[in-house]
Amino acid sequence: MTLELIQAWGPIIIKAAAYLGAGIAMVAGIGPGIGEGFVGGKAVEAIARQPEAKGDIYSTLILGDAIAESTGIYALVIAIILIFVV
Amino acid sequence: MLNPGPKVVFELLGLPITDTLITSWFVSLVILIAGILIGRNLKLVPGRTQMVMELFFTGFEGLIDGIMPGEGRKYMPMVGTILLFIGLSNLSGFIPFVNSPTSDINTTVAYAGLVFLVTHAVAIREKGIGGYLKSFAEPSIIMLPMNIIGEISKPVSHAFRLFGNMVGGGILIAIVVMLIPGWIFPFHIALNAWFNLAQGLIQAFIFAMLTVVYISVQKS
Repeated sequence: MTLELIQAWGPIIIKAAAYLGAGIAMVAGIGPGIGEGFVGGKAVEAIARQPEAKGDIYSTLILGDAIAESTGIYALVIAIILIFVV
Repeated sequence: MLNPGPKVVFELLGLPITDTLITSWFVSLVILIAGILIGRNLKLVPGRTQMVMELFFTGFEGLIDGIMPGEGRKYMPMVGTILLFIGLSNLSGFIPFVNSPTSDINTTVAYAGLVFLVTHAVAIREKGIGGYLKSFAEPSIIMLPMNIIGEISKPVSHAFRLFGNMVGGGILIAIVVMLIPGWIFPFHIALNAWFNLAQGLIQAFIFAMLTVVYISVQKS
C-alpha cells in the first residue's frame, strides 16, 4: 500500500474499526440479561412462596436489577464513546 | 448525524451554558417554588396536596428506615431532594426537544460526587479518622489497593448507571424516529413514555436507594 493510499483511507478505516468495536462491546449485553433473568425468576419464586412480602421483594428486585445492569451500562458507555467521540 | 450530547446555547463570562444546564435550572426552580407554596400553610388536617407530599415523605422515610433502622428522618431531606431532582429531570425528557439534565454526564457525575463526599463524611464521623483509615486495610493490609479501587469505582458506576440509562434511551428513541415515518406517532410517544417516564422514575428511585445503601455500608 502506498503512502497516499494509507493517508486517504486511514480515517475511514479508523471510523469503521470504531463502529465494529462498538458492536463487539455490546456483546457484554448478554451478562446483564442472564443476571436480571436470575433476579426476576428468584423474585417470582419468593413472591409465590410469601405473597405478603411483595413490597420488600419488589424494592430488592429493583436494586438487584440495577447492580446486575452495571456491566451492560459500562459497555454501552464505551460503545457511545466509540461511535460519537472517536 | 445525531448528536446525543449537550448543546452550548450561549456563553456567560466565558463559561459555556448548555441546554441541559438551563433545564436543570428550571427543574430546581420548580422544586423550590413547589416547596415554598406547599410548605407555606401546613395544616394539622392536611389538604389534598399536603397529603400527597406527606405520603411521599413518610413512604420514602420508611424505605430508608428499612435499610438503616432509626435513621430515616435524618437522611430523608438529602435523599428525598436527590430523588425529587433526578425524578423531575428524567421526566423533563418526555417534553419534545428538551434534553433532560440526566442525559448529560456532568449532572450525574456532580450528584455521584456529592453522594461520595457525604458517605465518606458520614464514615469519618461514625468511626473517627483512625477507624476510617483502618477500614481500608480490612480484613488485612493486602486488601488495601482493592478497597481503594472499590471505593473509587462506586461513584463512577453510580454516575454511569444513570447517564447510560437515560442517554441510551434517548439514542434509541432518536434512531426509531429516524427509521419509522412520522405518521406512526403513537408508537414514538409510547417509546418516549417508556424510556423517559417509566425508566426515568425507576432510575431516580434506584439512584436514591443506592445512595442510602452506600451510606449504610460505610456506617457498619
